[in-house]
Amino acid sequence: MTTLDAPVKWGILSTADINRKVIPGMHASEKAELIAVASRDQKRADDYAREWEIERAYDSYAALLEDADVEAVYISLPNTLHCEWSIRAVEAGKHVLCEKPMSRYVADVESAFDAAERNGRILTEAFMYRHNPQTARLRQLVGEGAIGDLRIVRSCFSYALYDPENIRLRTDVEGGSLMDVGCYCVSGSRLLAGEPEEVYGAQFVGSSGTDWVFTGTMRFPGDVLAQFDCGTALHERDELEAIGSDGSLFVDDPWHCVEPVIELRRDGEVERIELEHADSYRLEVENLGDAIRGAAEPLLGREDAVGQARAIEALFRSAATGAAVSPG
Amino acid sequence: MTEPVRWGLLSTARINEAILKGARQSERTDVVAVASRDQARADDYARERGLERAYGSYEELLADDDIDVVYNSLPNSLHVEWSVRALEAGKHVLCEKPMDRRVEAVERAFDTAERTDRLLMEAFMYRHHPQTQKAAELVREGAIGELRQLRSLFSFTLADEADVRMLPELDGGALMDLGCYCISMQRVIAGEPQRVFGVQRTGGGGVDVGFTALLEFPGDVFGEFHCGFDLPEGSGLEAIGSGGKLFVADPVRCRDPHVEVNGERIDVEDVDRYYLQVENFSAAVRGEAEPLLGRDDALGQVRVIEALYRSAATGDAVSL
Repeated sequence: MTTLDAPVKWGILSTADINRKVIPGMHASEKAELIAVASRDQKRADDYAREWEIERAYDSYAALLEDADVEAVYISLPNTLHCEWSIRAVEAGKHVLCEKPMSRYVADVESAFDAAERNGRILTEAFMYRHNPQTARLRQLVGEGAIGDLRIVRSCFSYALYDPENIRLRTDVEGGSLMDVGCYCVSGSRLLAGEPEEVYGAQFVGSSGTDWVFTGTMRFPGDVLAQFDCGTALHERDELEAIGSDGSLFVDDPWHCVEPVIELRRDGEVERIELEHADSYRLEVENLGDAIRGAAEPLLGREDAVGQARAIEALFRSAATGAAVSPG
Repeated sequence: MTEPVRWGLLSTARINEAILKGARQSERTDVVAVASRDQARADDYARERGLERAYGSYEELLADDDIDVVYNSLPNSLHVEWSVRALEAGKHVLCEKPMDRRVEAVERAFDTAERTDRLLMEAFMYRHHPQTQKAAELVREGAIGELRQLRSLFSFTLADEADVRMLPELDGGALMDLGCYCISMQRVIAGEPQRVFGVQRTGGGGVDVGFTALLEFPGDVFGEFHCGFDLPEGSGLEAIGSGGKLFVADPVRCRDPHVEVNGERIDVEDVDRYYLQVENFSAAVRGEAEPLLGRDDALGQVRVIEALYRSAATGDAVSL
């Protein structure tokens, strides 16, 4: 019998690289207990379970979902499998933390949340940076009018990777820069400015067939204008800047939040707002755990995930057609 | 020794001060006259700045045979009209940026210059500064690998709604006043855009007080920029490549001139860009140099500006 303060028992679908960030967060948390991992290959699952000190190893995702002790699953499968396995997991009675981006199709995200609601389970998209205090502070500063009226959001997230075998450069699993890193810029812009009314996207499609560079221009309510660029073939960068009528906020590390600090630039002065380091992955795991126990609301729900997918779908459509698109 | 080139100022705009300061350093240049619509104002202006002759109308200055060059710092909507009249009066013309927002008008001005065999140059003073040339050269030499992305910002707060830059009838607006620099510097580095998308915030007397644009250059190089009168002071140009990033902190005003490549600072000589511009134009008039900026550059500029305004008006991208 699960008590209210018992740690939530987690299972992980896949042995993806990103797990290396999430598993330590689970191990460190008193609110989580990682008990199972699934891979399509028993030996791989066994090795992985041994390496990461996980009790149970399954040779199929379906087998893990049948484990009645698992309360929540973390889905770090390729993008194309996110919604399918989220639905199967909630139908098996699990709560789900699904890696970002949930999908590039609004309809798929809607279906996943429909399934979660039908089954009374919680589904949340794993935008770990949203759980970091740096992000909350940024939003608060904008909301409090620290820079006057918000007018501009500029952001970027890029790195250089030229291995065509890498999952991020493969079209068959919906890789590409907008899906892998641009989704953060979309998320960060939406966090500050709301839902875009019009988007324009342009992309450089590299030899692997995925977007190696993607740039988006988005118009938000009140004529707040946002631009971002992201890339798998660009010099490594990650920045977010919010510019208002009276000043600007600059975040040097908006997504990884390794050294959280926000610069408030106003009246020719720069105020450095330093924040305590926090493990964003642990916080996202704990937030879902608390939500499962009824101790908190999930930070990110249907509305945010659907908003993300609407913007991403519209940006891809715009880049494909060369025309501006109104999301929705 | 050849005599200095004699310049006349059309208008008493504030920007003249920078040109006058530059001209004082140029042995090739002698500013001899000013014109205003008001004789008393012209007289005061000439006296205070030590100029020989003051005219109470632009026509009178153009009729002065002892003037070789006219510097046109009238409001944007009057640039082409008075450049054409000056060229037809036999003057060479340095015309303030942006020359116009209509391609047809800029073509007409250069057609006139060719017909009258006079020089016409758009006054993008920052183009004459070695910082600009250094940045373009570094990108060209592969300092950041293959060029992929450009980002620029140029903004300051303009609260005075009566300012000429806030008035649509004078072709004011942030794209005209500030965005033209973002366009110019991105074109210097990436060439001529093939398609553009623009969005604006409207204010003042009905002008774009803020403008955001995406320029799509050949080879899938993209240029983002924001400009605005409704923002705090901001500037910067970034060029991002496959293997590095170049940053120019103050691309237009060129204070503390330097270029950063992957965080490494490359200092550039601190010189007065207005002086360089005046010197280049006077030398060109004397046949001692080529004018740095000519018809191709001015037309490239106005094509983008016209397309961006069309894009912002229609809500869709515009191909060039």
